[in-house]
Amino acid sequence: MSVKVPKAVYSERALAIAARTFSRRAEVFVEETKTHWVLTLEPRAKEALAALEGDFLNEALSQECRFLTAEFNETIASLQETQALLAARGGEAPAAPVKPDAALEKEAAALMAAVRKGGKS
Amino acid sequence: MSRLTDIPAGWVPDLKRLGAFNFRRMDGGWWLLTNEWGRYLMLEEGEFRLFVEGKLGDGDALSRRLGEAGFLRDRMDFGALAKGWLARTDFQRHQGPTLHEFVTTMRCNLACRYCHSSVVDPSRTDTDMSLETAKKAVDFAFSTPSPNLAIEFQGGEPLLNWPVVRFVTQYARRRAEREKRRLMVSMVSNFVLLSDEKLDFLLENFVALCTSLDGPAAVHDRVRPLLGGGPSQARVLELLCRVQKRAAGDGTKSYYKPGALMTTTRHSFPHAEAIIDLYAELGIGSVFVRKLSPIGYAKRVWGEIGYEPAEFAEFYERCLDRVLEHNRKGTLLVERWAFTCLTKVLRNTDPGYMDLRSPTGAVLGCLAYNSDGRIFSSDEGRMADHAGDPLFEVGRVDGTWAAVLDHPTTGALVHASTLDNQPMCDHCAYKPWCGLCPVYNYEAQGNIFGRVPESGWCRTYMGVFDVLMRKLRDPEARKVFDSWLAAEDGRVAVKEGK
Ligand code: SF4
Ligand code: SF4
Repeated sequence: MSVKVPKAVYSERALAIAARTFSRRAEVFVEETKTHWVLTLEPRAKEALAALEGDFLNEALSQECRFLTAEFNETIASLQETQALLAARGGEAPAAPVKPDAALEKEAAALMAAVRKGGKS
Repeated sequence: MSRLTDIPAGWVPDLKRLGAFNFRRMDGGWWLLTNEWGRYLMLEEGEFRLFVEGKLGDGDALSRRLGEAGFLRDRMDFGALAKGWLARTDFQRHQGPTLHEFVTTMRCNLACRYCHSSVVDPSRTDTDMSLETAKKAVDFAFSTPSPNLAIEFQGGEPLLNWPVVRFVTQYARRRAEREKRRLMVSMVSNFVLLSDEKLDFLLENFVALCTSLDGPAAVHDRVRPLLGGGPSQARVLELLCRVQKRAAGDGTKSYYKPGALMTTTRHSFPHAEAIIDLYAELGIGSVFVRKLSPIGYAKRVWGEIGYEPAEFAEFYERCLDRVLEHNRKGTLLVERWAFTCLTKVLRNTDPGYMDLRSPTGAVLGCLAYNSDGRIFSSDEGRMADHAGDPLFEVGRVDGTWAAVLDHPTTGALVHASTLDNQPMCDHCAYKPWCGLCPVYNYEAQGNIFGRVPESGWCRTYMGVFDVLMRKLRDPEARKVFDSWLAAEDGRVAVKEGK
């Protein structure tokens, strides 16, 4: 059984994410007409097809809705994402990570030897 | 009540005067208003309508309150409001990450129903972290830029790999000293294998200790039996008391007081009051009524021990009521979840709780180091791996921090957990204080973005926020909450030498 959904509502991107999300539950095949997607869902286990289709289309709609929100808020969202990633890196010009010098390596080796001597307990 | 509420039919909003804000109609007919500046107001329905319809006079006291808090478009004090936004989102400008979770072994001497370690055979010493990997993990943690680092030993039971605990503690302390970085070391353990010698070492090296205590024996022993069977609660209590006594010191030195954590399962529900009473009796000072998530191994046993978000909210409220009762009778007992959320709400600052950040604290604020040297976005990400899905692996201990940040999974997690990208969160009154967990979304709903309207995560947090908002309107409860925050303000001032 196939279901026909309008391209004006469902983008290919949203259907692809929904298909990936549902990949453990069903295989999804997509064909297209000029105005519609024609979807065929083949459940991997026994389950009601109508419910599966409804759930699948909800997932696709939810993705579609998320695209709209993300697009609408793109400026503030990307500002926060970039800021957080940049700060986590250590700023625009992060200092080079400190590497243990020879003296510290020696200390580390001595600590390791000591705990090894102490055994597992 | 629906989770997103709308302006009632028949009201005519005056859009010219309204600032940007989210709102929620609360049980009892009042309205909660919040905004991006981190300010909130609780209005009665009549007040809210006057505001929405632009019918408040300029000299009106409510107008002044609304103006000051950034809800009126023509009365914005951008300097003051921007300060609020910066304080609320301070974590977005942190050099990260702060929290480094070390899985020293996957083995454990307990077999908790919700834990992946319960299925690791004790003979599997191959799941222990080697000293070489441990050194690389410490070096990796110190290659990240945060001036404040926290290493937390996790498991499995960390005491089963004592050499690594000892080595990491000493080596990390040495590095922190040389590099003048603040380091906090902590350990979550069931304490069963804690000898006097080990305890001395941990206390003398200022390792903060925390154990898991789900409540009275009737709850605890049902979900946290010893490996091979048998109750563990009495033993945990005995050990906790011993640690408390030893940590109290002899007056010449002070150590960290031990803490305890509880995890809520379906079996906890009939015992809310008894759980809180036990924590109060133990004098631990705090209790964290933690939810269980259907992630990793817990997902497999969810049918037996899991629950609906509404059931959890009800249980949470009963626990919080009992906590408040103890406080009113003079016992200081802080509920950590309430404390975390209220720090956000009442202080407009970030208490450092990774779950409630936008974007999430995964990778940016914390990393989990698996015993085999793989690095995960968070402990939850590692749990998903243990259940067979390595999606949240973002690097290895012999890699670089830059490579972890550039990992495609990291970017996706940041994007998926930024609430401005989520349709329902974008309109939610709790957005300034909330956060999403992409691992939860993935495990529960099949992709990292999730479907928030149906998400158990959202319903749980919304339920808890609803409880807290209601309590905030109760003057007696508010007094207790204020005392918790004032005590914390005092602690911070001492720490900062003010
Ligand atoms: S004590 Fe901790 S690590 Fe051990 S089985 Fe229980 S939850 Fe898991
Ligand atoms: S996840 Fe949080 S912010 Fe998003 S809708 Fe739910 S309660 Fe609101």
